[in-house]
Amino acid sequence: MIPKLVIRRIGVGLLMLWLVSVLVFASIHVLPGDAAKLLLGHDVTPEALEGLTKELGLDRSVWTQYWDWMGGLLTGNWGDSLVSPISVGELVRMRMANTFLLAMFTMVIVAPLSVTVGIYSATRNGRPIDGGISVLTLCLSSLPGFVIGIVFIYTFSTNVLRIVPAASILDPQRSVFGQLDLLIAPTITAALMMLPYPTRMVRAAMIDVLQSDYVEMARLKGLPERTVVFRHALRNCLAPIVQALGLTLLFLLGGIIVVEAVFSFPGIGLTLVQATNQRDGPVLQTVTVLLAATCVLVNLISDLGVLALTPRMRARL
Amino acid sequence: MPTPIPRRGFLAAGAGLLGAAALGACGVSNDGAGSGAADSAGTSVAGGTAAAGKPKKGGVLRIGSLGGDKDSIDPTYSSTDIDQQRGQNLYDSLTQLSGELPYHFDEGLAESIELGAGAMSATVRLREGVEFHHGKTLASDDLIFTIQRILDPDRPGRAAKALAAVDPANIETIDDRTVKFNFKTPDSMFPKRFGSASASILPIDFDPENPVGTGPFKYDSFTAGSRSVFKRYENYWRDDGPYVDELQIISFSDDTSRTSALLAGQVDALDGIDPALLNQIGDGFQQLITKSGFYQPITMRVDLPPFNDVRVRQAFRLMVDRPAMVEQAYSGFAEVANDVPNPADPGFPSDLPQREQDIDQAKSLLKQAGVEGMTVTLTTAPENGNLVNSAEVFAQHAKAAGVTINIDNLTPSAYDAKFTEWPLTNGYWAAGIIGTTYASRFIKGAGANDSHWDDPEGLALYNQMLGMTDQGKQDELANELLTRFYDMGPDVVHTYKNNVDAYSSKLTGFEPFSSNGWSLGAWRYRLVSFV
Repeated sequence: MIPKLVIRRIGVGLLMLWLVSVLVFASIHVLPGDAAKLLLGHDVTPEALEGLTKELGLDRSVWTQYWDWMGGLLTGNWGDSLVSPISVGELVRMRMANTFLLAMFTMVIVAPLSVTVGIYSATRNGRPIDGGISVLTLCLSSLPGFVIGIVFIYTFSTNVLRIVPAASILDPQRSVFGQLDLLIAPTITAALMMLPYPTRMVRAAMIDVLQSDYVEMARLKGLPERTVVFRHALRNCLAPIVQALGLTLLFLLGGIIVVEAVFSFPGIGLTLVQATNQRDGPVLQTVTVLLAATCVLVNLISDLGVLALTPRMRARL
Repeated sequence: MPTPIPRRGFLAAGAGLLGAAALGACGVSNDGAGSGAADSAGTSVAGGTAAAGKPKKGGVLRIGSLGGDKDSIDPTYSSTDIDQQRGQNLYDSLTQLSGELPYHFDEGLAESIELGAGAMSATVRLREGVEFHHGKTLASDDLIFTIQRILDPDRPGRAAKALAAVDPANIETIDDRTVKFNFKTPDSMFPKRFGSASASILPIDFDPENPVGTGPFKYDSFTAGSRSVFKRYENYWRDDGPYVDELQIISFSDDTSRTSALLAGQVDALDGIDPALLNQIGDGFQQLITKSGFYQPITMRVDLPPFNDVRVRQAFRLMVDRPAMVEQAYSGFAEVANDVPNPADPGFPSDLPQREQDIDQAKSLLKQAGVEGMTVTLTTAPENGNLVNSAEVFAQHAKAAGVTINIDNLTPSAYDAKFTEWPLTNGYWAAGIIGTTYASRFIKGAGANDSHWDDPEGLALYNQMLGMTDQGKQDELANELLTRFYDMGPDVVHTYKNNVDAYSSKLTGFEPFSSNGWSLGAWRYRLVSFV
């Protein structure tokens, strides 16, 4: 039953990935300009353009380019960037590793904090503290990410205090783990940006569950409130919590472009933007497909998690 | 979103690249011998001036630069400012453009470059005893290899246009330090075509994976889009540096982030800072303001109506309020210009009356041309800082003359993809001299001829220049050529833009590069040391 579900989901996922590959490939060819012309800039002569076009493989037919790229993608031969002397594989490895690390650190803050605050808020529903927390999360979610980032830089890096580096310019020659201080600012900023959604989801789910019959039953039985909340209520709203956190993680794994721009963080988001601006086909196409695959995978795991937590759904399968 | 690096440059002249270069040098000037900072830019000078005597050795110099999305460590194909920056430190060219006016070249790897009769050849004598980073002594074979690599028809280098007159199949080795180049057509400008990173002299066994040059710093590591690390080369042939142990060029995608990094002490200097961010740079930092002929003109396509009518072009030149443009578009960091480019050219016609806004005359000219009350679209993009600003300010001025200008603001890549096709646009062009920039921008069919300028008389003057070895006569021809733009050119050259850099007061040795406007003193970090 579950294996059948998993196989079906993977099947659909692969189909979607193929669609994504076609879409992103088509979109890059629809945009005006190409990598050769943009690389040559204004010193373009017909001979130089022809030479560079051939060298970059842009003179092949659209179909050939697509097939060559797909073939390479599936066999692990991802080719090189068109505009920089770096292989797509290396670029992806570096940038996605950075984004992954940032995502993990952010989740380490967001997950426990959003669950705790959400539960606390729900149990104090209607009281001033709940209202206060709601206002706070609303403010946070309406602040643009770059405002949060710049205020952070102003406060902790440049003007009020100078205890945290302002830019996350990671040295590629050293291990990231030796430069963790460069991740403090983007992590906290990303965490602040991501907190509102799961917090409010947790709060809503918990409020919902706290009004259900079995919770009422547990209370009538005379159980202490703590047991009611953590033993009975929480278990029943884990599913929406997992979903909310899963979506948050997914968002983080795609690279938050605003955070990357404000802190010059070498993540996958900016890589995509730059590749688009430079019409760097191999990088843009491969990274997009990889991110889509990540999306499919994380969604699948999240849904399996929900299934595991919801016996009723399993029975229906 | 981060603005891409300015790419429009004239690698042609071995000089002309980005940045602003200009008329009088002005700005903080710290010469290498370590005298106190002469500060005419009104910025704070950190306590403690540099010690007298030789500059201190040591330290790691970290530069924050915009860019990195299309990095290259191979100078022959370098295309961006950040590539030029690397090139100026890893390699040398035959000559070195001087930062001081009048526009001239200092010695580089060439001891001498002598033109043959009728400028149909040039004999280059290389300096003796120069060693590449891997130990090989500079010799004729390296020079020939480099030029032929640049002129390779299958993969021409950036300097191929500039060196187009050289016949790569007809190069003579006179001896192990002397090479004679024979030209296909006369080229008296040949000695002035070097100095840019794209004309760096490479060893005959050059390997882009492990680049080797003769420059003051040698390659240690390079990660495209991230940073390059170079180490001091002890055996450098000049004696005015280098001093710092290590040079790191760190790429940023965003200007604000770069400025924060400077303020937080993560980098020591920024090349080319947006003047709007200057009020953030306070104690402990210096500004370097360079004035040059760098310009962002309004360019009209002379092969399409209405701009094929010179009266309309003249009207456009009369519409602009130049002092207002300086204040509103450039926050004061610009100089009023007079519709003629290349102010550093020795032949620059400085006696032409300064053009001023004359709305009545403009209206009258437009009426004569039958286009009064016209509406036209100006295509621009958020490149090179203030491009969109100056377009918008110009549109305001045009209104007074009854001309409606609609601004079409594209993304940089969409704009660049068709930059020679827009009927009305504004662009950005390096300072330089007309002898080495004419062929790129003003000859029919040239890759950077966005105005489709085609002037047979001007072309004849230019060709005469190419055959003229006498410097005085060359300057006269330059004067005639430049004067032609004043009344009939395709551009409204309203201002020359300043370049502003910022650096920590712990550093000394940056000199404003007035000839060309290149940032941080042409990025010549061999002159820089910690105080």
